[in-house]
Amino acid sequence: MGLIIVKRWAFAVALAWLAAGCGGGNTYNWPSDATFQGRWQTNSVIGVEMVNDLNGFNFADLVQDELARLGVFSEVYPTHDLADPRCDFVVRGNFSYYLVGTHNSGYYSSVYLFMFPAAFGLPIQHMDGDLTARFEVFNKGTLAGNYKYDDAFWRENSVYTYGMGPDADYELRLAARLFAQDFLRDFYPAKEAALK
Amino acid sequence: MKTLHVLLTLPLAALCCQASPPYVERQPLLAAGQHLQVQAMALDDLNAMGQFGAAGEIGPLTSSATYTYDTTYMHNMEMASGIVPLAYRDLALSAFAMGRYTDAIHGALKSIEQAKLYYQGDAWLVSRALNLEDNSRVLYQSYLKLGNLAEAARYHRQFLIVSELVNSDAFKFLDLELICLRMTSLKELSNYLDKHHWSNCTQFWVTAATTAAAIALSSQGHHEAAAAVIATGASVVLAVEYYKIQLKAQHSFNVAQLMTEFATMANLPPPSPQDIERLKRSTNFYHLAMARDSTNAVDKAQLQSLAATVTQCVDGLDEVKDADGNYHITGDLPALLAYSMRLDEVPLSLPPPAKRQDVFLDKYLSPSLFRMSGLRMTPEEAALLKDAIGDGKSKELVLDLRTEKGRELMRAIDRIKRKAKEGQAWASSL
Repeated sequence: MGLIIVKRWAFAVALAWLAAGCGGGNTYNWPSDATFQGRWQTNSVIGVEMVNDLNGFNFADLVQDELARLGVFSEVYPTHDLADPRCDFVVRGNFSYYLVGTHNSGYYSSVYLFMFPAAFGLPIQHMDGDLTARFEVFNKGTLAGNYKYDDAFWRENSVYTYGMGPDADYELRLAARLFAQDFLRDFYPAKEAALK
Repeated sequence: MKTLHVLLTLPLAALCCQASPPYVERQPLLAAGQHLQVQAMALDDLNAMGQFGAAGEIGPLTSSATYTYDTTYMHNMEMASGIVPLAYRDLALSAFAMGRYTDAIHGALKSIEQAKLYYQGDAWLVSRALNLEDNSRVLYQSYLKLGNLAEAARYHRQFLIVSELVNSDAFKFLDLELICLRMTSLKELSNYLDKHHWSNCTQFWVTAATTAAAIALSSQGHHEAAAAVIATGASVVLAVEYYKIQLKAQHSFNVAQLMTEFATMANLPPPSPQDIERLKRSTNFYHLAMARDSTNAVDKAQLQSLAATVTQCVDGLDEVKDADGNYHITGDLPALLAYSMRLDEVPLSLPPPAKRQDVFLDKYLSPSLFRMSGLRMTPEEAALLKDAIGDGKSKELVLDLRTEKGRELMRAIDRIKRKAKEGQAWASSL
């Protein structure tokens, strides 16, 4: 019995050590579905025009999908017309994204210790990235709102989690949620207040 | 001595590889509403930088409240340049969030003023524009809250102009270049430090082994042999030191040269008529037209007739949404598909240019033609539409936008509509 407890402790310590080797963070927290569905329910139709990255590739599908998942708009519609008569609001966006991995001070320290700390799971890689997303909201072709989110993210990886890091899809979906939160707050305040 | 050097290098390395500047660390606090903490951190940065004395001067080693930057690397230079302007910006943002609008205005104005000093020249155009965007937003919103509509309108106009600029393709091009430089600089420093520390480690162990061997030999009375070992060890350490100097030269990042290149990119002149003509002559539409025999080219009347037919088909489409949320699109769909495919071929079958090529370039290779060709149906879209329309008798499409297929079909029809519009504009201008 004692041996089992010791093993469990050893296992827990090993897990904690590995977990410490793959910590990370974001500027913003992920707004949950409950954040939206309890507070807002609109009958609005939203159009998504283009959400380009710096290279000009269009990620509108992804933003459209994320806005539809929130379950607060009656429909989220792909469109190429900022004054689309079918939509109450049309969203257009663009974003820049980068992610770069470098050695961190854990790695440099390990160099002097025959790389033993690295082998035992000390974080040795620093992943550093940023996504800056901008969204413009148009109402019947007229600019109605302008939103910007600068989300810096980072992650420390051990040799066991080397190369793992945040991905552009997740970060853009996060930006879309943050945008939806602010957009709903700005354009549907009465409904939010009524539910409070 | 060498041990001391190593011990000093470790914390320095920790500082040098630090990739998150303090203003990045303030962002989560701002998002979480911890405004007092943000203000304390920003004030720390301002005090440490001695902002009134520095006046835009960035030294090769610059310290903020918590970090030291080796500004020979571009990403560190970028971070160090941003310490003061962004500290003021964060003060303004947090003051605005706390309802202290006069403080917010003061902070934003100071941030713009300091950005002019720290982000001087075309090289830092992107950083200056982004800073101006954030601050003009705070300014117009603060003035609005204070009821000063004249100032609010002034800064709102400024915000809209800057916002339009940062959303433009030209700005994105510059932003992309800046991001590439930043990533290269980060990697370069990381690679340099990697080799530098391995060299340090080698020197440390050679020194330790040499000392141990020399002591052992001396204690046994072999003083000449001990001296020879020390001489060999010292020469190895010196060789590694020489390698480190070369390493530094190999991995150095010439910030001044990079910034000059970046400034040149930021100063690209607007295209001349010759640039546009050169561009048009480089397109495959022009080359195909040049190589075409005039007998198999479509003439102007045919083109106009085709564009009118496609427009007629598009105008004849009717779109109705039913109670289940499905869209019913009715009209002559087979004809629309067939004529749309014919319209796709038009840019590739232009009539050969006459002697006056400039007229051909102006008339035929107009922006509408390029937009029309950009909306050419992809094989996947064509297959999807053919499949949906079926045997050619179907006059109605039922689209469920909750499905991927429904959205794809709606997008394809939307593209045909836009193409018809561009085609009509192009054909009528011939």
